[in-house]
Amino acid sequence: MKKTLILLSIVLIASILPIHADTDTEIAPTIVVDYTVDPATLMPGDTGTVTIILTNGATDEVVHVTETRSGGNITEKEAFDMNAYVASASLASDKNGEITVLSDGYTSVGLIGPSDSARFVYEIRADEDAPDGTHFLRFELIGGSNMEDFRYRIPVKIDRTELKLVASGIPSTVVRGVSEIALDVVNLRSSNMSGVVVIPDGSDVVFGAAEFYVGDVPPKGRITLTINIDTTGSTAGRKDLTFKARYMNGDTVHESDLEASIEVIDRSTLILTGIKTEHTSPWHTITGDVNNIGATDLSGVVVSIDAADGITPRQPYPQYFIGELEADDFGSFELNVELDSDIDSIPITIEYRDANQAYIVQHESIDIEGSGAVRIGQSSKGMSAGIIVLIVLAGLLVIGAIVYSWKKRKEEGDDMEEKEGMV
Amino acid sequence: MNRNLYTQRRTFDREVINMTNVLTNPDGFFSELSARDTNLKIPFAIVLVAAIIAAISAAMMVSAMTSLLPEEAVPFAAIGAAAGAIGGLIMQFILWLLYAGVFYVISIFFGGEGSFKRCLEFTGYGFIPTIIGAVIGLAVMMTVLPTIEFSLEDPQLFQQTLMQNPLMQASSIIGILLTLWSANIWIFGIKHARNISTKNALITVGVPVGLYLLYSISMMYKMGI
Repeated sequence: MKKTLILLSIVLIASILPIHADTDTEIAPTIVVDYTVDPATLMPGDTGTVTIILTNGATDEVVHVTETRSGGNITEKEAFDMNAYVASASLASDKNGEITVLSDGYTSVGLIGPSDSARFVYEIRADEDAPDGTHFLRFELIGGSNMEDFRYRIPVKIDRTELKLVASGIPSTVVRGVSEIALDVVNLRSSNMSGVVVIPDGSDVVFGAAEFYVGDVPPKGRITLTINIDTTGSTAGRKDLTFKARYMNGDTVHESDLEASIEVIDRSTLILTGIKTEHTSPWHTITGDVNNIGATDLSGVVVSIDAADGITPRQPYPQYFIGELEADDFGSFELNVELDSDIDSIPITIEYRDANQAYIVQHESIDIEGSGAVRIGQSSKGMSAGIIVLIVLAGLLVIGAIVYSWKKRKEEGDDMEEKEGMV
Repeated sequence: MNRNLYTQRRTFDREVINMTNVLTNPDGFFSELSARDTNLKIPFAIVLVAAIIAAISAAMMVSAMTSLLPEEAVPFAAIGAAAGAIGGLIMQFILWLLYAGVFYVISIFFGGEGSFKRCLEFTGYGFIPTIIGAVIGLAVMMTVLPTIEFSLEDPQLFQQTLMQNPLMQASSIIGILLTLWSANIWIFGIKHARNISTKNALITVGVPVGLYLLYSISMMYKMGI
């Protein structure tokens, strides 16, 4: 707070030199008083400074007063010294002692020449119990020589209103994953709040950072702070959260707190819907949608099939890249897999990066039964016993026919030889 | 009158017995048939039956493949099915001529003497097991095709799907066995048609049929059977 007071300690301002004096004239320096209070508004217990600047408004060191006599002769009547002599300058506490001046007064300050200034800095402290309102400190200057003494009241305001944290965007329930919450940092005071830092805390949850720097909050102003809260590894249930705002009013550090809670629901951020499994090739084709039911956008979403016994991911889509998946949005995927006949569920892995750019892996399972899968066939490994028996019977029939035909040929050949021998 | 009827029945019975012999005693069958004039009617009928069944299978296959075509392309699908049927029909006759020609040429190196017509006649009888194979193939096709979904973009994928079906695999294996049976008939047919020794007939038939079977087995292996 900066105020300026023009103190007229002059009976007659000598603005034009020399001054023609027809009567008795007295001239003294013009002193301008300027003061600032930092911080502009104190909180109880705060320390601050009051700076008082005295400026000599005169332009010349000496003012000559002349006299015009009969006949037009001008003669100097008197010369005035325009240097301001300051014997002492002190600041006293207010009358109730609620603001204490910690600094001693200045003594034997000396002369303040024309257009020169003198600065007096006093440290003050507001009492812990000081009531809100304007309190007046008393500045007293003792002059010397032609400089008059004067007193001046310096107003200092005390306001115990703290910086306020408002939970403007904390959802009551969240699913597992990264959620975004919003806090308003509100300054209801009439002075600036500087160096504001918000520190979140909570059990079984992870915040995007340990501290969030907000900076200056202007008087009657508000700054919205967005914080990512990660509940991917949290157990389901209510989670208590605390937010501490640390800020400075002048040189004094203050803190404000906010308590809130969220309910973590036992459900993953990504869910699968519209799953359809078809036997459209030598392999099975799985199609479906990945839905982001979380509150934040995800990136690098990849859906893939986990290889296991009887489950072999196949081209062209052993895995499917979806990419960015905004909150409340979905992405379709297609996967190809070779399945053995005894497989009734397929393990699926969904990989993505959350709003904190953390790499997350989510495991799901697709049930083949009831998913619309057309399961015709079995692989060669799954050839049924009936078919094998059929092949063996066919083989025996053919081999039997061939062996029989060759045996018959031999017998007929022997008969022919016998007949030829008889002939 | 009664005597004529008895004579006709005896002749018919003998021919029936002979037709059974082609499967169980081909040596005796062709030995007896060699004494008669060349007659292509029965071999033609045998190949025709095999060809008709193969044509139905081919038409079913093409029809299944074109079933996913848009409505505007339905006439083309019908044309495709007809082309498939004709192709299947002709293929059996081409195979008949091809086998007979190959056997005829190879047997020349063993001093074969019979006519090509006789060779063609006897080779035709070897298609009787093919009829059995075609009937099995048709039954399998009727069972398997309705259960397979496939994309037109990748016909090779469709073929792979088809061949990975156990019924189709069984049909292919039985087809190989029946080809061996046919080869057995052709050995004795060529022996009598070309008047060469059983050993030479075995080589004449065994080499091309063996190569064909090796090719078929390698293709089956390639398909992942």
